[in-house]
Amino acid sequence: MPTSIHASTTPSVIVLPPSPRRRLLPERRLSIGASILGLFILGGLLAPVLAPFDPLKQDYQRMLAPPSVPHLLGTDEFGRDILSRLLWGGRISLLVAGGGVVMAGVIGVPLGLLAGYYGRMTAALLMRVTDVAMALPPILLAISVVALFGPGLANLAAVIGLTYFPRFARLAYVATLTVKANLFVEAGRAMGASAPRILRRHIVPNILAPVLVEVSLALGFGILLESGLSFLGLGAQPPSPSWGLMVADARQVMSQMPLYLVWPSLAVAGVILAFNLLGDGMRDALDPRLRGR
Amino acid sequence: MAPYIARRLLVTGLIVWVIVSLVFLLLRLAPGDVVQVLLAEGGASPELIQARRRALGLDQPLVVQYGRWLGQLIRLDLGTSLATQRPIGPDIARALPRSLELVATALGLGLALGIPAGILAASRRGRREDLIVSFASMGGLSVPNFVSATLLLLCFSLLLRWFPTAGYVSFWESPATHLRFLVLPTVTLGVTLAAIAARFTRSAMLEVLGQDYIRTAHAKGLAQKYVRYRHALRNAIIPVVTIIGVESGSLLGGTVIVEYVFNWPGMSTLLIQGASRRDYPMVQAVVLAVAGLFLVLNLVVDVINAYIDPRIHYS
Repeated sequence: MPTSIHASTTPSVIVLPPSPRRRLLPERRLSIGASILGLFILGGLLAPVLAPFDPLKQDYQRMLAPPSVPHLLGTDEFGRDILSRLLWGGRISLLVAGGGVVMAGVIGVPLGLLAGYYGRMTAALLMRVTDVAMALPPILLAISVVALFGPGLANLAAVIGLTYFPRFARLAYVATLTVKANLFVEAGRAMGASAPRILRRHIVPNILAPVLVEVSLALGFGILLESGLSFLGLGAQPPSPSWGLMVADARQVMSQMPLYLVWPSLAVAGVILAFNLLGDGMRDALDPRLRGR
Repeated sequence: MAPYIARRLLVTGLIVWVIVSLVFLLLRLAPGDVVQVLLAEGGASPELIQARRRALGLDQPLVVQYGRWLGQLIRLDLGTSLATQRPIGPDIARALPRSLELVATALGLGLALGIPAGILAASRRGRREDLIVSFASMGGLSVPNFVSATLLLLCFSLLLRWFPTAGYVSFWESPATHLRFLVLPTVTLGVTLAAIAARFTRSAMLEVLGQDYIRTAHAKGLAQKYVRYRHALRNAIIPVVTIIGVESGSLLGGTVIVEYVFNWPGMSTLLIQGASRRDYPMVQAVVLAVAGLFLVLNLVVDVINAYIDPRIHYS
């Protein structure tokens, strides 16, 4: 191990018998998180069916209308239906965050796996690379990428991938080290299994749990980044119904119609909460030893 | 401990150098030449573009440019803004303290709220207090800064009118007004930090409270309070300090959005303006300043940890 301490990034592995009370809680967190998330995913998938109006259709007869029968959550400053925009906006957020996290995982996990399995030089190199990548606050990295390549959803997904892959790499690295120390890995090697086979059959299945937890937390983070940058005008561009943009729009007219601000705020916070609950619950339920945070 | 600090300094120096070089390369790898992109959009003639490139030294070989860039940085010269044609250094020097002030007050609030809450939750594990703290910190972590900032602004400035909407007055001009402007941004950032601090304090305390020596301390009849603060907290606080150090780095990033919402003229103004005008030198300077600060902060945290925890020896 490198000499410096990174308590934040190296999950401490401590064997603790889970108390009965602790075992109950994660499941509740899981089910609450999964239900909220299920609602949002359904809303996003079924947006074309569920949304009562075209999310981009402007109606100057009904600008900033309060919630009423055709417009259940009211209309925005261009007379667009807020509910429809929320439903379509969920698609954008989930897609961008999902794309970014897939990218981060696809780059990061194999890197960490190889570094953990093949040892010293690769590992040292990888840890220094992740040190550098993690020395930049994500939003800063995101804004610099936008400054270089211009705003846009594809760039946002790339940014999420770029900021998150070091975390996946580090996580996979630490987990691989732990799994590699097990006797069954040595037994496999003694029986003449090739390295790819050991990795695939013995190591990958065993590091899947922490990776899955990280995926959930990363998705929450991705949504945070997407909506935050869109809010700043550096992500999705109008008239796209991104939640971050909607909060920014609502902010302009919040003294006239405070409720408009509430809906997209609830949506963003709700999805992130769902991912956090899910990740947290999974961490405790899947692997009681992995109590990093 | 001195060799340890020396090595950490060396590593930090190396990372700074890597980041500096990366930022340099990134700028050169960007699609199109900076000047080309900026001037061609304005419809400038090829001669003018050539002249500007020469003025900025972009016609030199990469190695020469790199050497010049390092030389500039060593003299703390951060270059010239493409948008305003003014040197960037003074702008950063003006903005950075304002951002740091925000980070400092938010850190203070976050720790003052978060650590006691975490201790409370851990010592009342599974009871109502624990549930309330866990629930609140989960909420604090899940509401994005830009949402909580905007909602606070709506509630306390527009509806209740307790605080001025947004802006900045120098402390030396009017301390009271300065502080009134400071409250809402500090609360926005502080609450997130408190949530993080509470979670980490709680789990660190729980981990320590499960140790044998805590049982021994109880068994030999020490007072509950004594065990909790002298034995448990002193050991639990170490990972918390580390995490807070790391988090205050991302706090520096988080200020970007909060400063934007509250019109606080710190680093975010420079960064966002720079990004939307595609003023590369400006973005580059802000990134370098923040990354540098972040690394220094991490270094400080590591040294503090080595100081609090006599067990940390690094050979």
